[in-house]
Amino acid sequence: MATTVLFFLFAGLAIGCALSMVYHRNPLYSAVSLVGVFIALSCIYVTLAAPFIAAVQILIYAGAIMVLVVFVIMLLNLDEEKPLNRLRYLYSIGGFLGIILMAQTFFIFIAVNKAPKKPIVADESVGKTMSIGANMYTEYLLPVEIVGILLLMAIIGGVILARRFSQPELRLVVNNELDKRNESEEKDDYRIAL
Amino acid sequence: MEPSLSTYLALSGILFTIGAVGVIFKRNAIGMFMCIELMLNAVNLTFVAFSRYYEDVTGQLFVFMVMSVAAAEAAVGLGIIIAFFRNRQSVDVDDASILRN
Amino acid sequence: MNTILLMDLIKPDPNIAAVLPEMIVAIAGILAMLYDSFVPKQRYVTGAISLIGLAISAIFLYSMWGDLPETSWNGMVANDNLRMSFSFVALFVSAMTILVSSVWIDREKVPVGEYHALLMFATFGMMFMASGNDLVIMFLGLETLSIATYVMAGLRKGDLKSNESAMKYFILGSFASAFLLYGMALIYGATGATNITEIAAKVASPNFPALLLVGGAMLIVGFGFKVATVPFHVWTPDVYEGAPSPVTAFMMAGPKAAAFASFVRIFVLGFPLVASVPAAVFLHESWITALTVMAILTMTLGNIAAIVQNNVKRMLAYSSIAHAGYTLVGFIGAGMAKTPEARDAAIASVAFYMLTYAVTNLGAMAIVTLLGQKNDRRTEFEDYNGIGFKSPVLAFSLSLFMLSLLGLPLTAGFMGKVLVFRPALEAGNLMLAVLVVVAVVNTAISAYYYLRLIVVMFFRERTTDWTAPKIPFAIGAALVIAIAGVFYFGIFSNGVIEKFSKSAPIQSAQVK
Repeated sequence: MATTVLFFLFAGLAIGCALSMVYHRNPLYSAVSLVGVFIALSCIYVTLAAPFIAAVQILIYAGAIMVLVVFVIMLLNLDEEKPLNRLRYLYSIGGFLGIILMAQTFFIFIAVNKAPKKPIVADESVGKTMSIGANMYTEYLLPVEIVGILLLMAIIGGVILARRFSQPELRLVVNNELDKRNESEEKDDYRIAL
Repeated sequence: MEPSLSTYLALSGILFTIGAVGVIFKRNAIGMFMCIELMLNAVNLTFVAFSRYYEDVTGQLFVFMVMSVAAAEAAVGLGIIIAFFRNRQSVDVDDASILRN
Repeated sequence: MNTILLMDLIKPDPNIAAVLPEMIVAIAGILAMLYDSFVPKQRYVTGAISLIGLAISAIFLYSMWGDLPETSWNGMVANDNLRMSFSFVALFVSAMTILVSSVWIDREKVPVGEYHALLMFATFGMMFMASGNDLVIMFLGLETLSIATYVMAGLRKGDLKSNESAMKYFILGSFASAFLLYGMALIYGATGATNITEIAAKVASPNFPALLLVGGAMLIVGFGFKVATVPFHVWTPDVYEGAPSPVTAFMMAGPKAAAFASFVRIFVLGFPLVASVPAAVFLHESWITALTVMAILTMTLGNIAAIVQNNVKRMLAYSSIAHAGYTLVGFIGAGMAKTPEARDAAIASVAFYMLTYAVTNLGAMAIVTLLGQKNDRRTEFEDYNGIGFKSPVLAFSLSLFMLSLLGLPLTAGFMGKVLVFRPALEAGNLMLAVLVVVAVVNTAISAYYYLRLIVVMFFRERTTDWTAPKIPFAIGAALVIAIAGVFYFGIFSNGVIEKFSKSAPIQSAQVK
């Protein structure tokens, strides 16, 4: 019974926060709403007897990723978006996509509901840190190694992109027209480079 | 009404829909990025729900990998957004229209 | 809590030999990065390190061809010909990209060590997309590839086009990844497994047949984005036009081939036809039909849109969309194949098509890069006016590549097209016959814009003064390899295609 109440409480919270994230135009409000979604989902993972994932959800999503996002929002000093003047067709695409995905969700709900039910067993070892660790370093060794390379690469990528212009003579290229006009003067520049 | 597998999947589907529609409705790159994070979270919920249903740890390990990938994506994505902002003083994707004939 | 003692731990089964090619590529990337940090002034050494790494990796790949257990790492890595052939394509694309990008590195002063490291990690991701026999490996490979490519597209940070391209690629790429991942979650839900072999075994009796259908649809959306098929191609022209030319060359050939590798593995090997079960037959028919419609749309729209372009890079971007459509024909042929041998031949033809496309397209992009000059500003059709007789080497090679993309006999493109269309015809199905007819008609349409470039180069007057650029060594090497490849694959394709399809992929044992 407690699980049921908690589930619907946090499910409502997650959906409410998600809607609020899409609704708000101020990125900071959106970010805080998203943290709300993450926390609600973490509690839902607890009702699914997945404590490890619940903890990691808070640590990685709310703790690392969202802090990074909020940091970038503050760094760039973003304020509210200008009033919407987006192209009309994007709204119809969005509405269409929304309807399709909702229909799909409903379809999944019906299809799974018809299948025989299995009660959720809370005291399984699955989802405990021990079973996850044991599997991660045996069966899932290779994915863990690949994730290592992936994170290394993300560090390199982040450094290249966020570093101030590392290409010394690079100026902003707004438009090629100017370059083309000046070309007669610097006609041979590629030769020098070669 | 006990929450069953289908309830969890419905919640996950709703969150995924909100995220997907949000990506299209948002104009600002950081907002879009956050909507994509929401979509990934919705998928994670599906994985954990099935993992519990089958009493199989695979789904939860998959979720763990997805989280690492999301962290890497966040680092790179925010780097791209910062580089974009430096050049234009804006993260509005509607300003990104040089490449359109 | 003594459960750890009771739990019988699965053996990790670390078969290092099975992933040695991937490991060598990753190590080459790390070495390139380390060398660059100690000797920051260098411009060519990291490229050489990467090329050596790719060559060693290719040698190992060749030596282990058909020489390994069917799967290793607890079924995570497949050692079939699908893996070998697509990994080979990935290595080839990466090596050519290094050669093509050398002139661009000099010209634009890009951070060279990081660039080569990223390229190596992207190759690492591509190889795992080809070798992954488990959804988690495919997903991680895909993300490694995608994240590296987002950064490479945005490598020229001061260039608004490059910025914009990286941003669009990042947003739409992650959006597609989310769909792909949802598809994987639903497949896992339907079958209770993430291993392709186990999924294939469960297709006849899934726990939730409906979820298999929905999950398959989501996977088609996600992979459709990645290989750029209509209607999920919207990002392609902008991203390909805005990214620096060598990176565009990489993106056109590499990620497309790698995404096809996973796509083919999941659908052809993971969702086989089980004729006795109606639900499985329905699933099979659904995905075949969906892909057929997608292939027809992709070829037609890609070719028609390519006709009206005035920018060579944009034209090649639409042509790359059309080529994804041709590749889908072979893919559908593989899905409809009746015997495992026919299926393997069809899969090999898809890999061969990606190889011929990579050879031709990278050759063409080498010339586009060389002629593009600083900031890729010379990529309009009018910039190619009348260069034919002033720079005959470049003009004749570019013409050859255009003819190969068009699919003229004796070139690689022709053999590629013949081989991908054949399995679809042999399936003896009306829908597939129509598909092949559409593909052939489209090839004829595409003649317009490929030949237009040749006409522009040879028969248009150039108003401004123009001196032909000197061809630097690396670009020259890339051109020689590409021209040799175009003729070799066009005339002596048998050896390659036999190598690609000789031994049966692993699933054929289980799935009858």
